[in-house]
Amino acid sequence: MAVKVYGIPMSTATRSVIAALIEKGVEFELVEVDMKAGAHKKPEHLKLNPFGKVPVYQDEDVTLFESRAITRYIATKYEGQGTPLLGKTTTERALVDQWVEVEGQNYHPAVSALNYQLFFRKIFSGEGPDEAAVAVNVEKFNAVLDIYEARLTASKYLAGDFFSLADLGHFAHTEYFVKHSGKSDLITSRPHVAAWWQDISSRPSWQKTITYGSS
Amino acid sequence: MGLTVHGDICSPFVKIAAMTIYEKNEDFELVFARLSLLKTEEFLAKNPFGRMPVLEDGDLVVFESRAVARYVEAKFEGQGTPLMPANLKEQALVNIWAEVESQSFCPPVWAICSQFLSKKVPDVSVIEASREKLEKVLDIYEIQLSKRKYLAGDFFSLADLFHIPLLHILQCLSEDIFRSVINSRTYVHKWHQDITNRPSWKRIISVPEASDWSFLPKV
Repeated sequence: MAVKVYGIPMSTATRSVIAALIEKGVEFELVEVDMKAGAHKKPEHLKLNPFGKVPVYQDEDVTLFESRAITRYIATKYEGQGTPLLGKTTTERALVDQWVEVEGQNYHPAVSALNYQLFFRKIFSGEGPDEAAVAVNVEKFNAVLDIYEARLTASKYLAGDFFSLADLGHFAHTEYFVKHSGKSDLITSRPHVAAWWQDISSRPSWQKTITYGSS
Repeated sequence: MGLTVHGDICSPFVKIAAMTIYEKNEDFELVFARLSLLKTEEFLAKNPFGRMPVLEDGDLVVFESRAVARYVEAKFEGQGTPLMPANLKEQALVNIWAEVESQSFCPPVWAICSQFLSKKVPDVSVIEASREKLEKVLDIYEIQLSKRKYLAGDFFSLADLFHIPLLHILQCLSEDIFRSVINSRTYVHKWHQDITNRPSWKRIISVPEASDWSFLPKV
């Protein structure tokens, strides 16, 4: 049974999973979920993910949700092929896990709020940004990016001098932020963050991921 | 030379590190760090985010409590409680529910607790909005836990452990909210009773400092 990813091409979480599969050289089928029609809240999808979200990953052994759990599974199951994503030692692994958590706890909340306010909100509901929410999250994101700038001055990638799951988790929201928020200077004004973004976003896996779907 | 944990045992996140270490039948030296110390240059060199816990093991410094827990489990694999299964499928289930904790459970619980910890008069609208989110999440937990004893299966794992300290602080700060979201759900309640009965957890909350947040400044 081939690998199936249930999701939509524009979904950041779906893109994370696609990128991981491409990094590991795993063939898969993207099964589009008609979210505009509310398919993700219907019983058929809720059987796959009771939280009614995308993506869902399915292979002959498992049905999984939560993109970071999925990418971790892909990185482990396919450890022997494609790009190593988890580090080679327990120490390297600890640093990968640490920066995966940093993304989930610190980077993601700020950047996803900004992407919602500055890009997705208008698309989904026609509404402009809540300026107060933008201001709060710009401040948070700047504080986080200062830390990233210092880290990436000392280290080529987040967990060390190797690309890992930690960096991969930053692809999807950073892409939208840099291309569509109107505030890409937060990234580009920080030389080491900018260089890191330039490096990781040039990876074939990411270039391929953003070609999925019509827009 | 053993493990060092920098932090204050009243922090739910320090408790995650502590409980994981105890579950592996290991111990650690707690280097006390209270809020004011987290912004010193010395501490920021260890964790630039200025938060607790920080784990030190020889030259290795790890922050983010869930990453600390994963490291401890990997380092002491084969002793104490297995907190992460060897089987890939079961591992994935643990990681799913660890992510649910991180992304869907922790934020509303912490939002509620923050209201009680740092404000003189809790903002009722914030509490209610967070509580509504939490209830929806716990409805799914209730169905999950009606089918199996623990979140990832019939085995205790890191996914369950990650929830314990946050449930504890919520209960201490608002018994009312805790009862209405946890005790009202048969299987969630049963699960909570089971996981908080573990000797590693009882050891942590046996010290009064573990449940004392009175030193925090009121805004």
